[in-house]
Amino acid sequence: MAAAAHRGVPLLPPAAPAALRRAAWVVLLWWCVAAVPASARVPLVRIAWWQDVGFPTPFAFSTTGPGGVVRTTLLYDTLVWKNEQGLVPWLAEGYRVSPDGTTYVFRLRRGVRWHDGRPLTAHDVAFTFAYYRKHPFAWADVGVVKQVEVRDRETVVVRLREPHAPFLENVAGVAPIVPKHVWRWVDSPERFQDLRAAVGSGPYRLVEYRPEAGQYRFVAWEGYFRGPPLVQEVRYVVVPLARQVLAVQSGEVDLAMTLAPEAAAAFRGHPYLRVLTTEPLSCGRLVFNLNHPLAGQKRFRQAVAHAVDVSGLAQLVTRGAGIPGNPGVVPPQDPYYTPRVRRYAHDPSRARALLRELGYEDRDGDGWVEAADGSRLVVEVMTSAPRETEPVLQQLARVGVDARAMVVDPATRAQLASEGRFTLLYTTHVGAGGDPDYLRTWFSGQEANRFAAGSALQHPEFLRLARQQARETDPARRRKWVERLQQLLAEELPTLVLFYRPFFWIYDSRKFTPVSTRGGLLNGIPLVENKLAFLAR
Amino acid sequence: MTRVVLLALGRLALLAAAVALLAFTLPRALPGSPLVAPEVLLLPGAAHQRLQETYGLRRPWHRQLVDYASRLARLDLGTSLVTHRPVREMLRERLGWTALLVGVAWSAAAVVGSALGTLAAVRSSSGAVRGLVGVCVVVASAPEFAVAMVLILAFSVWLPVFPAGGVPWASAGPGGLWERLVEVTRYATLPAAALAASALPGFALTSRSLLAAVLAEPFVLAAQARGLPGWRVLAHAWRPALAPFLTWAGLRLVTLVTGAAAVERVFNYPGLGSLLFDAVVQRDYPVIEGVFLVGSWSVLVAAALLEVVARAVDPRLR
Repeated sequence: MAAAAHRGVPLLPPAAPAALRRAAWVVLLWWCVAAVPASARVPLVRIAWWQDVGFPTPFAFSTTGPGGVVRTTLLYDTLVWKNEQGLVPWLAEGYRVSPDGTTYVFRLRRGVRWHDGRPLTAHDVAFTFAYYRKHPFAWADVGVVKQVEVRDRETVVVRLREPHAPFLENVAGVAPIVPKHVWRWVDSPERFQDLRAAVGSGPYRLVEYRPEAGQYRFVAWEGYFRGPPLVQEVRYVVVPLARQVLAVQSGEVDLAMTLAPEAAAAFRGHPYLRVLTTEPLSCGRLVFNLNHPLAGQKRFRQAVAHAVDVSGLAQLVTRGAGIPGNPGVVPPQDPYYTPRVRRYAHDPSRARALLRELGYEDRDGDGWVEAADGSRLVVEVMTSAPRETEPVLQQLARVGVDARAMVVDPATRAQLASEGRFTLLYTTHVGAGGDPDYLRTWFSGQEANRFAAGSALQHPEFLRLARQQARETDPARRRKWVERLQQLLAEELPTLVLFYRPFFWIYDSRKFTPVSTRGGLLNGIPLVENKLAFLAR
Repeated sequence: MTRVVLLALGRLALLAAAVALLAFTLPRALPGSPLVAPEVLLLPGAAHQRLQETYGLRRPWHRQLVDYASRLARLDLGTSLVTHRPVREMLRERLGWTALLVGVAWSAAAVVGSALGTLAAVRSSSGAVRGLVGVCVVVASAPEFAVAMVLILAFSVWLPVFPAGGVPWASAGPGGLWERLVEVTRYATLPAAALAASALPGFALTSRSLLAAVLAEPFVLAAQARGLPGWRVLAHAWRPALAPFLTWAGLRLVTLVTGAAAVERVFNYPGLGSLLFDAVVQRDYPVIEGVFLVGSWSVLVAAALLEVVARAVDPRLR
C-alpha cells in the first residue's frame, strides 16, 4: 500500500443544487445495483449463533465471547481489514508510516457513504479515536493513540505515543469507524440502542434486532463502496451449539459451527453442504498461579509438563481434530511460530525426579508422592469443563500427584482467577492468532479482566522483550524478539498449552462461501462471516 | 372482614419486602462478578473501569442496597450490566412469551388432566385406566427437559412438523395477523406440549384421588339412588373436590413457571426462564433481581387470589 496524501476531488461541486445532487446519487445507486447481475445475488443467508450478543454498535455489543464484536463488523468498517492472506486496505486506500513508526498517514477512499447517505470523511475518523478514548471500545486498546489530526477531507494523521508494531492489525484493523454526526451528542453510548444508532458504513444495514430472541436482520447497503453485497440479507438466529449441525442439515440455517470432527466428516460428499475448517486459534491450556508456593516453582511446572502427554491429550479431548500444545504458546501454523523452544517430552520418570528435587516422593509406597512430613501432595485444578480436565488429572496421578478437579461455573472461575485464588486452572479460549502481541498482553497482566492474575510473568527479560517487540518497527528484529519470548515462555511455563483446536463451519455452498481469515478475524477470532464472504471479490 | 383483608395485605407487603431483600442478596452472594466476564480476553482497562463507574459496582454493599431500595420505590428495575438496556424493557419482551407458554400448558394440563382423572376415578377397575395411571406415574417422574427432548426428536427430527426451537421473525414473515398467529402457534406448540405433558399426569392423579375420595361419600350414593344422571352426580361430587384441586393447581402453576425455565432452554424459547439463566451465568445483578422480583411477586399475588377463589367456591373455608 504505497500512499501519498493528496487532496480529494468531491463527487460533485458543492454548489450543485441539492436536487441535482440527490438525483446523481440515485443514479449512482442504481448503477451500483445494476452492476451486479440480479441472478448472481443471493436473497438470504442465515447464520446460527448460540446466544444473543446485544445491540450491534461498538458500544453496546456483549463482550461475552467474540460473537458481538464480529457482528458489528458487518455494519461498520475499519481503516484496514484482513482476508485469507493478511491485511488489505479498506476505508483507507493507502497509508504511510513515518520512519520512527509513530505517525501513520491514512488516505481515505473517496465516495464512502454512511448508511444514511452522508459522506464518511477524515473528521469521522478523528472523532472516532477521540470518542473511544472517552467511551472505550472493548476489543481494541486505543490508548496508544496520542492524537489524530485531519489533514484534509480524505487524509488523517494518527500520532502514537510510541511506536506500536501491532497498531495496524490490532487497532486500525479492529476499531470500527463511527459517524460523528450520530455520536457527537451521545453521552451514554452503551444505552443508545435504536436503529438510528446502528448507522455505519459497512456492507449491511441493521433493519431489525429482537433481543429476547437474539434475532438480527442485516440488509445489504446498496451504496457500499465495494459495490452492493452479493447476499441481499444476512440473518442471525440463536441455535444452541448442540443443535447447530442438525439446524444446517435441516435447512433451518446456512452456516453453523461444530467442534466435533466426526460431525464435520459426515458432510464429505454432500451435494451442497461443505465444511470450512478454520486455523486452530482456540487453545486449551493449564494456567499456573505463579504466586502460589508450589505452582510458583518452575520445577513443579516443568514436572507437570513432563507428566502430561500433550499429544495423547490433544487426540483425546479434541477427538483427533486438535494439534498438541506448544510450550512456547504460539500455534505451529502461525508465521511467528518457532520450533526452537524447550520441549517437554512425555516422561513420567523425569517428572517424578523433578518432584523429588522439590522434596516430594512416594515415601509409603501408596503410589502418591508425599512431602517430608508425610503429607500427600494434593493439587487443585480449577475448571469449568470437568470432562476435558479429567485426562489431565489422570496423567498427573500417574506420577503420584493427587490432582483434584475443583469444578466451578465460568463466572466463578473468572472471579477466582482474577483474584489469584487458584493453584492450577484449566481454560479454553480463542485468540491464539493474529498479531503476536497477545504474548505480551496475556502474560504481563495487561488484560483488564486479569484473566488469571497469578499468571503475569514477573520475569525482567520477558517483560522487557514483550515491550520491545511491541515497539519494534523492523519486522526481522521483531520476529527475533517474539521468538525469544516463546523461548522464555517455554522455559518459565506460566502456562502449559495442551492443544489447539480448529472450529468446523458447515455451510450451504449454493449461497455463499465463508472466509477463513488469516490469524482469525480481528485478533485471533476463528469466525468465518468475514464481510468479504458477502462481497464480490 | 376489613381487619382480615388488612392483615392479609400487610402480610403480603411484608413478604414482598422480604422477597425484595432476598433478590438483592442472593445474586451478590454468588461467587463471581459481573466485572470479570469469563470469556473476554481483551477488555482494555479503560473499558473495564468505565463499566464499574457507570453502574457503581465498586461501591460498598450498603450503599448499593440503598440505591436499590430507592430504585424499587420509583418502580425502576435498573439497567442490565450486560446489554445496558432497562430491565423493565427486557422483562416486558419476555413476559408475554412465558405467560403464553405457562398459560397454555397449565390450562391444557388442568382440563385434560382433570378429565382423565375423573375417568380414572369413575372407571377405577378397568384395565385401560390402570394402564393410563401407570403411564401417568412414569411421565410425572420425568423432568420437563427430558420430555422436551423426546418431543424434539419425534416432531422435529423424525417427523419434521414443528420447528425445533426459536420464535418466528417479527417482520420478515408473512404479514397478516392470522399468518402471524399460525407462526407463533407453530413455534410455541412443542414447548407448550412439553410443559403440559410434564404437568398433565399430576393433574390427572390428583383429581383422581380427590374425586375417588368424594365418590365414596354417602351423598353420592344417595344421588345415584335418586336416579340422577351420571354427569349430575359427577358435578355434585366435583363441588367439594374443587377447592383442594384449585389450591393444588395454583401451587402447580408456581412449579410450572420453574419448569418452564428448563423447557425454554431446550427450545431456545425467549421466556423469563432463559433470561434468568443467562443473567445468572453473566452475574447480571439487576436482571436477576428483576426476574426474581417479578416471578416471586406474581406468585404471591397468584396465591392470594387463589385463596380468595377457594373461599368463594368452598363455603367451609369462609
